[in-house]
Amino acid sequence: MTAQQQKEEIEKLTTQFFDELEYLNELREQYNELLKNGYFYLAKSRYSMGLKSLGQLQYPENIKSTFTITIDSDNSLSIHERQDKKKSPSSSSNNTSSSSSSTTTTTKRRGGNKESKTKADSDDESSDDESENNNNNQENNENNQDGEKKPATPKRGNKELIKKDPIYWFGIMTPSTLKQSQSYFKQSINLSLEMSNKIILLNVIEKQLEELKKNQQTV
Amino acid sequence: MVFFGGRKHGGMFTFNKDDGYLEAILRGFKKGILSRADYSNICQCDNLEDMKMHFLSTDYGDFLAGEPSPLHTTTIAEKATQKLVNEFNHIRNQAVEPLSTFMDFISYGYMIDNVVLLITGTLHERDISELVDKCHPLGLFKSMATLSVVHNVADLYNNVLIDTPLAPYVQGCLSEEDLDEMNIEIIRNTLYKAYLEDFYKYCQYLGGQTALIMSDILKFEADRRSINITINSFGATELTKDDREKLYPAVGILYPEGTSKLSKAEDVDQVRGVLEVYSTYRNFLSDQGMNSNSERSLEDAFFEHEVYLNRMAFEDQYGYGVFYAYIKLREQEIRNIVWIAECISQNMKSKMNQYIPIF
Repeated sequence: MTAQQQKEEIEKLTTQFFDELEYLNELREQYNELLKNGYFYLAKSRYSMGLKSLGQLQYPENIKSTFTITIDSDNSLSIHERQDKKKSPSSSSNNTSSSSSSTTTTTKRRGGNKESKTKADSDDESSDDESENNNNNQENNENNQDGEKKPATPKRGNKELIKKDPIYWFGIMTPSTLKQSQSYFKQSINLSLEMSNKIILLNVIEKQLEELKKNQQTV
Repeated sequence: MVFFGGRKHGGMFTFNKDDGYLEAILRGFKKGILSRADYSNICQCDNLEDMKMHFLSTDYGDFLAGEPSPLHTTTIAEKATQKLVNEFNHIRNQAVEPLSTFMDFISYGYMIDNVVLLITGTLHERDISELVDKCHPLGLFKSMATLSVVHNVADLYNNVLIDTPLAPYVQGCLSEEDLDEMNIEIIRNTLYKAYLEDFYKYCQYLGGQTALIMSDILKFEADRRSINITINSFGATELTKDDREKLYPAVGILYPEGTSKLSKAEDVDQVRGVLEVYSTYRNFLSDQGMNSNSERSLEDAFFEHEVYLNRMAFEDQYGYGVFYAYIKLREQEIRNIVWIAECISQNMKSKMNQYIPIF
């Protein structure tokens, strides 16, 4: 690669870097907006339901995640709804080497009260893959329970829906504001994933840039 | 008219002998309810510490004294509730029959909430002592002390609930084998239905102004529950229409015709159609009423009407309606304060004026 080509390449990557950065900032704004609305509707629901019927006492002691985040072969993250059935062994054969990096990105991405502590429950068959336990929707409850994990666990097998959707912890007949709040928090999960993928991409670009610059100096 | 030891309830000549003092105290308490000026002061606060300062000049005084900062909205709510509970107990402790029973009836509603909280907690394997701490202080009952030995729902009923005034309501709606979120919801609503009907019956039995004022308030409360149950259950496919109908209280303006129509409703429009013929509720579900982005939601309309009814109770004399109304107005005030505090702490000042002023 000639010096000229290298220069061009550096410039191209720099532009790409800032484009992605700008996009990331946009995503962050959207994310903030979603969380803001989520918390607001949560406050509204507590206004109508009463403080005591919407709090940490309503969710189970040992909650499991309803979503898992997996690291794909190209290092990007993807989100899946957790299957209640036991996973087949093949599904857990993803590369484990990247698990530590997944933890860091997730932690970075979520910042503050949204980071998950990643320990799979002992009875959770999928704990052997590197998936990240992810809280879904309305964690946040009043006291911002850091790292509190949500998802529903009821033992009954016949009512799948109740089993799955954590909104039912707060009653079958919850007001529409709570459902809205939940949907905002749900959206924020996908967005946070998108954001972390962007951050990963940015890191990759940054590394490439550094390498190119090193090469340039040696040349 | 019912006689209590030779005294007639609600009699113009005898009412003050037993209840006049307490009513006077209560009307004094009522003077402490925040006015519009107080609200506008509180709304101008930039943070919760400022709010605490403003409360000093109101009836709340230094109720937040000694609370470590940063203040949390939950703390404010707890302290304000405690103040209300102290006032309630002050009156309850001096009340004689039938006012004492009437006030006990008020506390049963909170007991139901507590029971549901306990059952939910037990189901979710929560620590029982943690649950008792969080129970509403007005709904505490003596046998709660024995709760530490309770490990399942059968114990809960046999050791705790059986000795409470709720026992007659509980019978027939607790079943151990299939207790899940669904059944808890049914238990909650069945209990509340039984409670409302019983309270209504008691007020009718007392007669006089009490029956007059309370029947309006309780009928509204029953209708509100029916409408809420209907609307909130639209998403929940597990609840059949027959089940839903069983949860509607058998009192209220809507009962029986309206509730029977409500039980068949499948969406909000149909509910709106049912309510169309009831002048009180006609405007509650206006087009923007269901849109929670609008300034005034259905919930707000209900709260507003509740405040109106309770305020009207104070225009009346020789009845117990004021005792109930005062508690409810104060509760609304606490909700208002918490709402304003939430808006301040979430930096959503534009939504702040959605509270419902009382006087």
